[in-house]
Amino acid sequence: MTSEYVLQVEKANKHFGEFHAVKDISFAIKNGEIVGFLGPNGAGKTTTIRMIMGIYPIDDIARISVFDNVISSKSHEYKREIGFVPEISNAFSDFTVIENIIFYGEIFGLKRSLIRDRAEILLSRYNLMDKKDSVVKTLSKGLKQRLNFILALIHNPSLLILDEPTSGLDPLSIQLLRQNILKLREDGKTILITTHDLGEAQKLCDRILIINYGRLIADETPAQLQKRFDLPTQITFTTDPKLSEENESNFFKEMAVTPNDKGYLLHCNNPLEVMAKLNEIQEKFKISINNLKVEERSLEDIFFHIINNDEKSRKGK
Amino acid sequence: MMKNHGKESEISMNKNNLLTIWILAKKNTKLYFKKGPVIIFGFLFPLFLMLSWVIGRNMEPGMVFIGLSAMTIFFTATSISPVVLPIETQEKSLERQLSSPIRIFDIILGIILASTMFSTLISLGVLIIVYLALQLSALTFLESLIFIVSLCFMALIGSLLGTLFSAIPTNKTSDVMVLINLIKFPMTFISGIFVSLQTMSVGAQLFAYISPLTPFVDILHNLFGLNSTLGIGINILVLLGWIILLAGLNQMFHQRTMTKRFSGQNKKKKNKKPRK
Repeated sequence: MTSEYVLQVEKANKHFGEFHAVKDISFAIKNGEIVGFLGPNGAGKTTTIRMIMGIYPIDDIARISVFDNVISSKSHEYKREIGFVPEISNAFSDFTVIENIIFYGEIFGLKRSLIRDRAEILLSRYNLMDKKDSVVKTLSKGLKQRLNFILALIHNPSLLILDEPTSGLDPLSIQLLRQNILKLREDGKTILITTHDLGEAQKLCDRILIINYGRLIADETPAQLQKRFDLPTQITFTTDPKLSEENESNFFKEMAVTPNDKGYLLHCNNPLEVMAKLNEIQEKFKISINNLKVEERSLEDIFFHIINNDEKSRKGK
Repeated sequence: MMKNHGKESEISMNKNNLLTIWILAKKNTKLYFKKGPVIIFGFLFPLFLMLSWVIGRNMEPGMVFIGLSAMTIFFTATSISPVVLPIETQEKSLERQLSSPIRIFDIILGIILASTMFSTLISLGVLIIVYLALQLSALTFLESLIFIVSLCFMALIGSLLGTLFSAIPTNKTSDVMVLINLIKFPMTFISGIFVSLQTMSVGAQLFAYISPLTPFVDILHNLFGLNSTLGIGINILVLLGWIILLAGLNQMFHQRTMTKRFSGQNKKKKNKKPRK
């Protein structure tokens, strides 16, 4: 019987000399899920991915399995199920686009005719058809990243590991790659994605893993995170005329309003109540309240909240 | 139930592994034979070294041919194999290869195969022309076969030596080339190319066998009717011994250093606390 999990990581640890880069990380990804793997620079995301990809050896305690195959430092065949997209282009820079595709297709044991058929589909899906005979080193970063996706998909893997795939790209490339990530989900692929773009993670992911100082500190769906960290709504506005300090304290007494460069900022749990109060103030003091913005707290705010709490608890220890 | 994939051996060989090694070797030949260090250390260096040795001297054609054979095969074989891993570390393509179902052993064998084929073919081409130009006495079929086999062995030894030096986990070709040149030149001078082994003391002759070039040069001396120290059979065994030794060292060192290419370990040692 096969388990429902495509990838299972149990007690993954990695040391670089005395530096403990990954500490007892455990998580599992179900078939068809898109899971975001978030964390600050140096948190251990890429190290964990490299352990999954067999680039770093796995210690005796850790157990990583891909489609129920427990991997070790000597196993390589399981990689046929994985497509890996790194942040930086790692195709052969002196080969052309099509030469790279053929090389990796052959490495995965595909016949030339099948490689060419799949290459046609992928080159057009990633808008790279007219560059297929271009030498890789002449391509822009965005085009190289599209090639990275094609190389990761040429063997039609079930699990995709994307390490900051849209980092540093132009908006058009980002849009194209995001659309294609969603298309891959429709195709039934399972995806583990690391990103610093928390908006991207919120849009794409079914579940979020947060790692800090090598430890996994959150493993929940975006909705669960929103619920657990029920952060106050943020309201910003300006007034006309601009208020003096004395008026500010008169008008907004009992409201925790903070003046800033652009106007005023406040956090609340009941935005409707605050808006009613602002309406009252407007009528009572004959001022007009403009540029009113009510913002639900995003994954980005939750992420910073979790990381800051973790930093505080580390310092406390 | 979880299956264990750990049974795949790091040095066992099946049809898929052989095919992978061949694909890697084709890629290496296509990508690296035109690289600067290969042209400089594989062609220009032995050419000028040879010219400076031959010009103005009254030498036996056989000696010239032996010297040229030894230098051409040794320098070409040690020119392509040390540069592949540093270049692929630099451009990150090594990481992608290791993310595919390729073993470290396959990558190393792919380099060795490309380097051996490349240097054997280049050297054979050059040597056939020189052989005809010098109007040397014709070799029998068996002698020709011994010549080609020992040339292949020497190409393999040079390639193994090159890949062994590329186990240094660096992304700069110059780091490897400087070190390998420190070894290559003394090897050339003690191996009986410039000074005949017979004119050396017994101690010096033993010392000369530290160089894998020595048995190769001695085989050629034997084939061209010049004084030789050991028989052809023993020299071939010595070459085989070198191949086994270097292959073992390659397996041991690359297995140990490969992950260090990606770890940034040195940086982290200097700065153990990356964030505060």
